[in-house]
Amino acid sequence: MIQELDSASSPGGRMGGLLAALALGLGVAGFLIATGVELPASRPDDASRGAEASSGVANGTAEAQRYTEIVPSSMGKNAARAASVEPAALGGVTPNELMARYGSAAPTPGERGAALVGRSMRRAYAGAPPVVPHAIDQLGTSACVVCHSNGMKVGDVVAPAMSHGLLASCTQCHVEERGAPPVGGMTATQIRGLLAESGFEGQAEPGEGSRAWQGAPPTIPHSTWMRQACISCHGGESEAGLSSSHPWRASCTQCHAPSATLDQAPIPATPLPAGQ
Amino acid sequence: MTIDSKPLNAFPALPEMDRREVVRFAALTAATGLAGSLAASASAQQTDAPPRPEAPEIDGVEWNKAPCRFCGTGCHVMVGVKGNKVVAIAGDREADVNKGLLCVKGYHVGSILYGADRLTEPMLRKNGKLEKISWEEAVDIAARKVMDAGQGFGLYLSGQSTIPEGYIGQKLMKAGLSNNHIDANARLCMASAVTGFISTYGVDEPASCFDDLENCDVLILWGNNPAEMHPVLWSRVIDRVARGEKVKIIDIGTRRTRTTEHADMHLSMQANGDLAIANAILHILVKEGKVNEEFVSKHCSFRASHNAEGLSHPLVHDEFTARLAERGAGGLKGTAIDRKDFEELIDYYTPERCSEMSEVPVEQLRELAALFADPTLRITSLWCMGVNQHTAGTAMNNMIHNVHLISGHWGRPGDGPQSLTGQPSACGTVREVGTLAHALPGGRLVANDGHRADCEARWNVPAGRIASKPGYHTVKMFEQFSKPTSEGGDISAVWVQVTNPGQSLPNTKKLINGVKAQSDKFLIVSEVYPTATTELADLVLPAAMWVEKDGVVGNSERRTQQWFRMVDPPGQARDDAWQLIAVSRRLFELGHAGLRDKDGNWLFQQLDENGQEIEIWKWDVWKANHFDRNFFEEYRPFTVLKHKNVAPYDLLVEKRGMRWPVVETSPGEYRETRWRFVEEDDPFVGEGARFAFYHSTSGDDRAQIWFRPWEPSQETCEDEFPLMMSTGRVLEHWHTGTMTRRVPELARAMPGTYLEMNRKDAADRGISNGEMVRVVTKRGSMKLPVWLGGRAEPRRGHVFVPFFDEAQPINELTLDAIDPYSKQPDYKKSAVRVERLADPKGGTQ
Repeated sequence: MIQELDSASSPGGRMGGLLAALALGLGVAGFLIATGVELPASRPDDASRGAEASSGVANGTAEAQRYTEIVPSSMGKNAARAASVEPAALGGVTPNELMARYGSAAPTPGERGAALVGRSMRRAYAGAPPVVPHAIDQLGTSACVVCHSNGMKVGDVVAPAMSHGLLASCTQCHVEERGAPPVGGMTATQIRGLLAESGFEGQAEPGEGSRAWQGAPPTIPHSTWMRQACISCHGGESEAGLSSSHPWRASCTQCHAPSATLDQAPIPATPLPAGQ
Repeated sequence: MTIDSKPLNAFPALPEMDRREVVRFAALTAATGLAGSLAASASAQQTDAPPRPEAPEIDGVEWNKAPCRFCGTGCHVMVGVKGNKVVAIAGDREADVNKGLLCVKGYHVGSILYGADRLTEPMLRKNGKLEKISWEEAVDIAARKVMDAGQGFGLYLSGQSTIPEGYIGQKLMKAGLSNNHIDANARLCMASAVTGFISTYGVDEPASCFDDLENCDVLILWGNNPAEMHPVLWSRVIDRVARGEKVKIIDIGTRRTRTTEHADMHLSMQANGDLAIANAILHILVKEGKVNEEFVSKHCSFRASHNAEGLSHPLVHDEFTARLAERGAGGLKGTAIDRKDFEELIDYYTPERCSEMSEVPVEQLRELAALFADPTLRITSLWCMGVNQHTAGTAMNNMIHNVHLISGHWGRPGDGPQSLTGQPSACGTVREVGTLAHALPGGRLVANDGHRADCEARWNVPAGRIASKPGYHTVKMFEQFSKPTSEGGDISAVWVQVTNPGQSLPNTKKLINGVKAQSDKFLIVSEVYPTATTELADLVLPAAMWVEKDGVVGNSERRTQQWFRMVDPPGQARDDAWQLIAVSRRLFELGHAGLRDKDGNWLFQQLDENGQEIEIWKWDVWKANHFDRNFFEEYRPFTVLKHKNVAPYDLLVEKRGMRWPVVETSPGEYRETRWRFVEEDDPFVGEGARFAFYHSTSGDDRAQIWFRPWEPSQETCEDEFPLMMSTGRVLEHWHTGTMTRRVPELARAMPGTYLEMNRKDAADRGISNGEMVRVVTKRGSMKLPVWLGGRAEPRRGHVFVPFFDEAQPINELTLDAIDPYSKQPDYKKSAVRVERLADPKGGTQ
């Protein structure tokens, strides 16, 4: 990511610059809120927003792009994945260097099992939207997008890329794993005591995809609806147990067949956007 | 039976099938419908999309469609069932409403069946404790209580009752017991929308539909937070914005919410400021010559009402309302006034004056009016509880219709007012079947002689069977139930189904809590979990829920939706419809004359193909069949009178809902209606009319533009109670939380309620985030933690408390003032004060 931010001329760098601007914007807003500075009662309309952006340039700060403008470049199946294998996007790293960085070994059964357990703990059943294992910005969407548009990894902590195209209301489906509002000094045990038990047993995560012969590429064992972006779980930055042994290959379905019976849409009907 | 449309015999295709086969059958019929809906949508969508299989095939998992159990959006979910249990949920990609997406409640809707404390046995309160009894005993006790209570019996249903459940309850009460004390919890959520539609258009329910969300250039949210309450509809708009389309979003309200974060303009208003804002728009349009003359001259009339209860602004319009009073122009339909009168009255509402009333800057009022003045824009208005739970709720509903009508922003795709509902069948059941104290099915009224006679004929009961006087509306029913008999409390027994008034009524201490101590009051509750209401109940009947039973419901855009039962209910839990049927049968056996029709037959008699009576009151018979189709088809002819023709049941089995009026275009071919009263789409509008409000109050196909004055809220902030408290929902929980608080993913995300406060108001009082405080109203006090800078922030002087939490039932503190026309309470404006506790760390008690 750091390298991406530096290469301002590349497509990835453009995105990175934007993310930095967004992060900066959030920081400023957070600072204003924290210091009790009155925020404007209404957001400026389109025209005045444009004017503000220009004046920003005049002041020597980075021009803020509108959130809407980034969308076409990150929509579509594995669009971010495709962009990331451009050597330029990774600061000149070649696929060979990538292989050295990520290794080429398939995950061990133990790693895979651990990753699946981790997945299950955040989902009521296979296919459920995962809960959010960290505190969230209660109001905004951009705070989610900063980390989850392309995904990132800091130390062992993985922020997976969104598995689906950009949908603007993240909290519509993803809620915090642990209570957001203050609960009057209650301990975690006390909070748990408030919650009723459930006997719901969700459908388990599917097993591995089938292989025609040993060494053949496995088929995709799950639906790809809302999981169009394979990179989300299987990319190089994802959890070890699920990550691909060859994350630099951009066209997953070239070798891995989705299943017509599993999927409501066997093949995405929308062609990838031009230029990707 | 001699009624003109005989109920159909027991579902002919299904009598021998077991559950598994039923699911297969439904999947098959659903698949047949697929071809049609794909063809219909082919022109609008990608034409080269491959046909999709119905749902993922996972070993052992069978999938079937059902509308979501929660709000009025009416998303369709695919329900994955394995081993008689729901194990997974998927968004239904064939559904127009949600296009494959759901909200977090929808994704976890399967879990609501499996709370560990499901009620599984009938229970009777003996010596203060609920003890298990048999169903036979329970049905007998319920029937005898209903019989003994006579006109002192009230049936309280719900916007979550299915259409057949509501229809059976309606027929039992009005045709069987000659008792009009039937009402529904939708009285608490959308009654003012109903009176708004009736007084503006002469007939209830939205004319527009959710397709407007894809077509609007401007979206105005009147006291509405769809980001949390109608998340899927919200995404339909903001995903357009994310794709780069221009939609100007205007948020009007007393809090900054998740919705405000996506808005281009936020009008932060004082309580009841909405009336002033809308009046300012009318004023500006009139003064600046921006009235759409063509639309208004051809399709609108002007109207006003003298309000007998004197809520009109006393200083300004006294003379005028006195004149109206002389003409006897009170009530919901008011009287016609001239445009000149209207313009004179509206003259008072200058932007400056309205700005003072609403505390919204004049520039914002002008900016909003300018949008309506621009005929090229397509403007959609959404509203829900903020407008409906309002002592001027009817008036404010009229005002939203007004601003659209007077500017001609009406009747084009994306251009019109769309009222939202909070329950899956507030429209389908409560409004269309009419499970209300004054209503009969299909938009008929008990006070109308012709309507009563028509229903008596259709139900084959003697003339005069249906009582002409409206029964008690919800607040009155519970007031009379709570009040001791010796003090005139003339309701002695109430049966509650599919709702939780012990937590959802306003001012619960006054309206329901007192019942428990009175030995001559009897409360019957059909429920799925222990609730605040079962705590008060004398008889608890365990109910089947959602996909444990068949159902038909109707969402906020006139869409009727159907599902089949997919899993067995737990233990002895049984369908609500069966419970009504079983008690009705027991009443018949006990000799209640009202349960006989003109020919002496039981009112709910069902015959098989050979003319033999089906013993539907026996659970085994009920469970082995699908009687929803019978009752729905018996009800369907009622819907024709007001041109609300609902689709045939068999068609609903195939479709993901259809929007009425659904008319047969050629034999076996049906089409739905997206925009009502619009010539291009509504088959009942005459050729060349362009628009026709064919149930118009003025009898000339015109809609009514109402003069509705500003008025202050019922409670105002005074020294002792300086803050205004609003209550409402949060994303994760639905209504009183009985279902969602039993879903671990939702309960953990939002474990308890809280008090939301403006940070400056908190700072003034030295209150910090998370601190326990005491919130006090005239009706009581409650300890709550304060959440500052959280999910939303009220404007200064306002606080907000979600009502989902059974442990902290905020409705003990809310005001029970009601709208004079709709009788809907105002949960949004209770004057409160917030006190620090002596020990600021507080406790958990």
